[in-house]
Amino acid sequence: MSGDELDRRDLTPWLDCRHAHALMSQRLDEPLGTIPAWRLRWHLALCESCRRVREQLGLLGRATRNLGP
Amino acid sequence: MDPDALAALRPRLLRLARLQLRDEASAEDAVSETLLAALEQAQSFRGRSAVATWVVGILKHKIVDALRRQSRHTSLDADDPESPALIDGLFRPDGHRVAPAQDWGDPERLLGEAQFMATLEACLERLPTAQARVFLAREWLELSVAEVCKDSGHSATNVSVLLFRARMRLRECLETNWIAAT
Repeated sequence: MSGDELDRRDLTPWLDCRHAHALMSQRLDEPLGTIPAWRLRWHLALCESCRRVREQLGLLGRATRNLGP
Repeated sequence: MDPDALAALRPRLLRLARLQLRDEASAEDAVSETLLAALEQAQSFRGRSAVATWVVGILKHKIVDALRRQSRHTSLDADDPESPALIDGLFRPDGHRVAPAQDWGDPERLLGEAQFMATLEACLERLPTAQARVFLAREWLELSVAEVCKDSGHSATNVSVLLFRARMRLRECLETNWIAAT
């Protein structure tokens, strides 16, 4: 059944980098739900490249806020 | 308040206003209103911050007003058609990055580096209009997503997609033009 498949997919901790990038962007604008937040933590613990992107997306926001005279 | 000192800020204010509004006439109007308001409110300036910082604060308010007028009078900007393919190109079909993100070094140091900030501005100028308006409204004007939706006329889903694309493009632009060049 496709419904079962969907449920199982939602419960796996695995997240690919592309999905992790989208969640890292979303998190800068609104709190993530419990499950997406947990899956993202899991992914970040294992993925150095995504940890860098997390820092860099935060930096982009702070640097943009500093735009001034 | 020295009117000449205020007038000297005009080119910088115009550049910032153009970055956000993406429309010459609206940018000119917002800057003129800002300089006039600064002159009128000169007594309320207490010197807690530099004059330029205070004036940029006024400009941000004028720009929020201009954004609201823009969204009432103009149709919604469609996003540029090339962004989805550009973002697809960053990832392999299995969802991994084609090239791992590079280490940019200490964020605090980057924030203080004029060259980094100049490259960021150049990258912001190159963003497609719809992405730039939404990204700057969120991160420069510090509006909430709900406010950005209201002021831009985009749905929450659209705003979220535009912010994601803007962040991906900016990150790539900085990595290519600044990190790789230093």
